[in-house]
Amino acid sequence: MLSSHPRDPARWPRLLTLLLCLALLAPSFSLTQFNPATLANPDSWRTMAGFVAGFFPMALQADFLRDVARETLTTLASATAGIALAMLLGAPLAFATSHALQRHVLGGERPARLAGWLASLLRGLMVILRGIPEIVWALLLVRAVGLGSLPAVLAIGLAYGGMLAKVYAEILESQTPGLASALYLQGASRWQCLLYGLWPQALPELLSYSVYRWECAIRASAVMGFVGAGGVGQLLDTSLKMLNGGEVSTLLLVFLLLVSLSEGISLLSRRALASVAATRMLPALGLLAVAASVLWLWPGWRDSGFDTSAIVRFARDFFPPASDMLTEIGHGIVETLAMSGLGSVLAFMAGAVLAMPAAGRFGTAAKWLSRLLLNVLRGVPDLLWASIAVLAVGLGPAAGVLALALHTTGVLGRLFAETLENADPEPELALQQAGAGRLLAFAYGQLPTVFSQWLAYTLYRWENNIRSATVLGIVGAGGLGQQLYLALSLFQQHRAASLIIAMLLLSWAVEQLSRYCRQRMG
Amino acid sequence: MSLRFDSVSLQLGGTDILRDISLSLAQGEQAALIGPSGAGKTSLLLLAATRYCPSHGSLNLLGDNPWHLSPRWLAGLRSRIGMIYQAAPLPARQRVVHAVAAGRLGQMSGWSALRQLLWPDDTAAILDSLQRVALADKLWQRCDQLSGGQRQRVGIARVLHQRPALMLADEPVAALDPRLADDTIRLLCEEASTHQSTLLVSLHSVELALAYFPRIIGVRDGQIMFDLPREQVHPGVVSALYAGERLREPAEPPAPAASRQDLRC
Repeated sequence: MLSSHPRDPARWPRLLTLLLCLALLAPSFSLTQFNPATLANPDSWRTMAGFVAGFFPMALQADFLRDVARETLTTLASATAGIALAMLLGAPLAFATSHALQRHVLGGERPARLAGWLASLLRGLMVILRGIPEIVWALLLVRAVGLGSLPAVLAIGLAYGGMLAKVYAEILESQTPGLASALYLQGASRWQCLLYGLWPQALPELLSYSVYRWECAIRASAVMGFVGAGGVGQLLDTSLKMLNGGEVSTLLLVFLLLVSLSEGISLLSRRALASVAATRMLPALGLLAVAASVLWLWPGWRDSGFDTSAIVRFARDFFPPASDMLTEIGHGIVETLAMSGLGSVLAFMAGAVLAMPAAGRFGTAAKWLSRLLLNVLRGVPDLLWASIAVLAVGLGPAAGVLALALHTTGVLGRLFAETLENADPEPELALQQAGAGRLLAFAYGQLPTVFSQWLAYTLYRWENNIRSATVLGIVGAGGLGQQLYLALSLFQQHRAASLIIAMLLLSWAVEQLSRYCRQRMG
Repeated sequence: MSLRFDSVSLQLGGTDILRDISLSLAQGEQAALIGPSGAGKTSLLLLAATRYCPSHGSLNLLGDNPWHLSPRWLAGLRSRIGMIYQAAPLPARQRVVHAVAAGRLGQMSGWSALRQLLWPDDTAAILDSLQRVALADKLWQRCDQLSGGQRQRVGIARVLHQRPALMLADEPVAALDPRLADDTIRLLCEEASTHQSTLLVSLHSVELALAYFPRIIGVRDGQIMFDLPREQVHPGVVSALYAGERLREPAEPPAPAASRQDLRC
């Protein structure tokens, strides 16, 4: 009996999966020119320490702080005006495309062919609007309408308009179906069905999602200055280019404060949505904020000399897209995928290590320190990390890997810590009580529970990172974005058009693939 | 002496859980703890398993006072004490082979334990432990694919794999059907006598206790009411122990939520 050593039946599939992952990961290092050995080299640590020391002391001159305050307000105003534009664009698109308000769904009539085509066309438009990242919209619009906050507002309006349209339509579809249909059968029009049947129950969810998007818009608007679209990002870009470390650290702090402020406001107002009074108050406050934002931004817009014919001329230059750059695009896509994959794997490892103290396993002091670190990593957007990483390790995809790894470590570390805190502690305690050391008790008692969750979170973030990796090149961190930035700088609009199409296809493919995977996993 | 409590009391969150417990078990002795729920049986076992430190009094386990030991020696002592819980503390997604192997973590080197997670190779001994609880065919299954009773038996297999000198069990058969409960208690007693381990088991079922254990300890309101050889446990003694309590059916499982809170508070 004791002589029989049964072998693990899953050992070959497991080994094969592991080898496959390694085989995919190994070329990523050379593709992205990311060399982990430099991290172990004391020389590069010394360089890094000097680099970090350059950020101190923080710049606190009065006129600089005045500039910062002004640009911070501009960032907030651009985000708010941008979201208002996105809602103006998204709401009618949602009304036109939502399945919940189609005549054949409401009344069981035969679907009208023309209306169906129109809805599909609009859905295609929505895919394009949200498939092009907002920073790319800003990059294009800066060239079309000039520097300043206007391209930022338009970029947020277009990209988020497509996103809001999709989500609004989905929210309408997820409501109890009978109500609108009952009204329709009494002879109400589709408008009336929306207002009387769907609106009252869907309103809190619609508002809550819009507020969440506003929070995202602030983060987006804060980095748009990197392409010349105003706000704190523009100041940061200038300070980085002048290598003025003190100003950079002040701006980073402002940045973090802005992000946590918007997170706080968004959380509070979404919680408040549970009460009826808040659902009335919030839109009123929102309108007030939008009016104030437009007033604040108006002088800049008036002076920018906005010209519609210039936009049309600019847009015409992009056609037809260049068709002779398939290998270049292929290379850009592979580089983008390699950056995102490597960045996500590094973030998984760093996140797992930081999650231990952040979940309170090594005492209170370590807990708060690691949480602070994770919040800083998470609060600074990847594009900003990329612009700093470019200074630290030079232009190219290695900076992109580093940027994605830093930002994603913050995100994953927080999520990992949460899973650790929510997991049942009994199995681990029982093992410690049977004399196992802390590491082994964790590996046998806790890891099996949290590991699959960690993996799921990482895959989800990887999907996000593929999208982020396409734009990091705008600040010089490799991938498709860098090619796009070059093409636009050289006024090669046809090539730029092809690259934008490649970005769209990549983001669409990733979306479809992840949807398919999620359906498969249930 | 394998286990000795000298007027031990335990307070948790300001409430007295156990008061003035004195008890000793010789090496290889087997005893059952009975008493109404909430009497403190679980806390008494957790004291013996070094989960709790006594508030007063002194405790001696396998020749040492655990709370006078350095962390290293405490871990060594703990690896010789095995505990079977009311609900087996197994991570849902872990495979049975690792769940059982975890019993010997205190005796393995860290490196080989981590290697075993990726490439389990000490499977013969694990399989042997599983065979004794009639679960050999589940070796490669995941714990969440097993029924509650099977999970409980995996928990028992883990402790058999550990081969402890002091075996503690907190209502190990509450989730099992009567026939399986009978077999399991017999198995525990046999294993304990084969390896000369001391065995202390808390049981809901007075019948099971009387059928298998030569020594019966009655606990109520955090105190030992009686500590008698089986022959002297008369029906009158038992009904006094449970007086004022609704008498339970032997196989009725305790409310798991309440008992978990017991563990926490």
